[in-house]
Amino acid sequence: MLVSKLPGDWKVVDRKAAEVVRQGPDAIMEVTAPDGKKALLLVEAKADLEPRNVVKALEQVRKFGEGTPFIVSDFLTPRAREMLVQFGAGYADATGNLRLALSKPALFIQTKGADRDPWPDKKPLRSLKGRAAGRLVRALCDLELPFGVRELAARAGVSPASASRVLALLERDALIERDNNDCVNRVRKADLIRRWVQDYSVLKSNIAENFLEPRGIAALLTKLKAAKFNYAVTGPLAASFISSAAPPRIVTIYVDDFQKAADLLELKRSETGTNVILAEAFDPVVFDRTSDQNGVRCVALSQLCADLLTGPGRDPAEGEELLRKLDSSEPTPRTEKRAAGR
Amino acid sequence: MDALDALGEHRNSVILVGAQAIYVHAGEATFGMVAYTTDADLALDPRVLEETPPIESVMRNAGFRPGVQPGIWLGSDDIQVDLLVPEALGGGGRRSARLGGHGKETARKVEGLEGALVENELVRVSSLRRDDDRQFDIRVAGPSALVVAKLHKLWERRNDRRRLENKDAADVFRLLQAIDLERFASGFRALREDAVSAASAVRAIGFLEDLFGRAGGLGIGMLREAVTGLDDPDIAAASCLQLARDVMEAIRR
Repeated sequence: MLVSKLPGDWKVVDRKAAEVVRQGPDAIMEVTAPDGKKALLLVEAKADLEPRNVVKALEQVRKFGEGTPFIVSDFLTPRAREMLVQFGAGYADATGNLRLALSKPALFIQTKGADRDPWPDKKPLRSLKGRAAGRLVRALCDLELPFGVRELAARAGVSPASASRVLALLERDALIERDNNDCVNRVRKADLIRRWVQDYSVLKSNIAENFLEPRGIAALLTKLKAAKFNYAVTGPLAASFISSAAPPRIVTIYVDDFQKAADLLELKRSETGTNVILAEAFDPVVFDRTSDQNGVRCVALSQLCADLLTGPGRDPAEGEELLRKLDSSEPTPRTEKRAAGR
Repeated sequence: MDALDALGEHRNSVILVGAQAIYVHAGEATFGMVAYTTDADLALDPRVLEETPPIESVMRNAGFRPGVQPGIWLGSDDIQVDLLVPEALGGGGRRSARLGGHGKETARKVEGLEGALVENELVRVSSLRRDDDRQFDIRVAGPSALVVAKLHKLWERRNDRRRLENKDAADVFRLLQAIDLERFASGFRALREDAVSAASAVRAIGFLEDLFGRAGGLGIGMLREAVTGLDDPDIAAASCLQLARDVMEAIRR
């Protein structure tokens, strides 16, 4: 690209072959002007060069000797380019952004390419934070196998690009397996939930507020059974329905809007005693594939496990118990539609 | 059941109060406490009590013997029946109620019980024993009257820790939890409007405020002790406080 932008009587020679540098730059180019004056370009290829890493990258290149650093990349953000200029480096990216300014021999070339990354999803994912990851983890645990990326994306309600990146991460971590057609045909559900809760937490990912049902948990259950609004019980109460344990002292409920729900359930705010936690969910996926337990709507087992594992007190131990059930749990058949509310 | 059976004709003048009446309204305890009692507290309404047969001899004939205090009757298996008369209608005695020919030691005067004569309802009660199929229609004191009676009991004993029972505070909480706010408020208003119960009801509202209407109230502290080990004392205390305030507010409306 650089060559094509130079006037015809300038020459660019790859000097790396001549000066083999084991830990040097990726390439060394010699630019020769018509009058014979020469300049060396220390060429360094950087994928995803973030602005905050520019200074470090240039320091590294300058260690290799005299010459003008020249960074090549698939895409450089406007801020990265600005910083490269500020620190005296040239650059070129695959979208057509190019700049080279030399004083001896005197040369200035600048062309403009894209300001936005045309391949935003190419970076490998490292975290399962966020709504799309949550929807996908839940779908992978709940839905009937096998399915391809597009089907998974559609059923989880995320973009195919997101699904593809999350699946790549999960495959790297050996949490899922794919067949020859690239369809997911195995999910290690319990391990997948354990991996999810490294990035998801019932207390931190959702917005929760404390309330008091002064008439006690039994009275709350009666109201929930008659409730006409969207809710899903999670935590120890949902677990108690599965394990037939006594109801817990504190109940956690996902709702759309905790003030509205508190009014409808006639809950009070209290600073001294709390027996109901209302949580506005990180994503409506918590309302997907809920189950009716004794007339009370509860989150799906996969969501319950994640919430317990990241909950207070004895919750994580209960979560571990339920993870055993998750691996053998029946998937939601293909015919079932996603819950309303998206 | 034996006492109700024995009282026969007088059953119309009898109102079930105390733990068994609370059980009728609040059912199983909602917070882990076992509400089991076989002892019975019966209030007598002197205004409608027939002169014969004399209660003292009726009780003795049914196998009950007098206890250490007026009004206490002990049956077989040591089941205790307390016959009580509201203070305002109990006559001039210090502790025992003056009931004419029914005997001087037959019933005991109790403060705050007046409401039971005003707010009550007919309930069919049956025995807790499987082999006993007797059942009687008997008047049972309403929830407001029962709370008023408990509040008077707690207040009367407030400076005598040895005579205070945490269970009484827990009973107040159970009633507040189980009974609809509007029913409480209308019950309280009814007590306040009847000449027999007005004075004790008005005083009881003050007791409720002092004992249960503030976090440091004696009743709240007793409730904490009553539920410790069974439930979270903070949740019980906050709940009781909230319910007491709700009731007071509803009464004032």
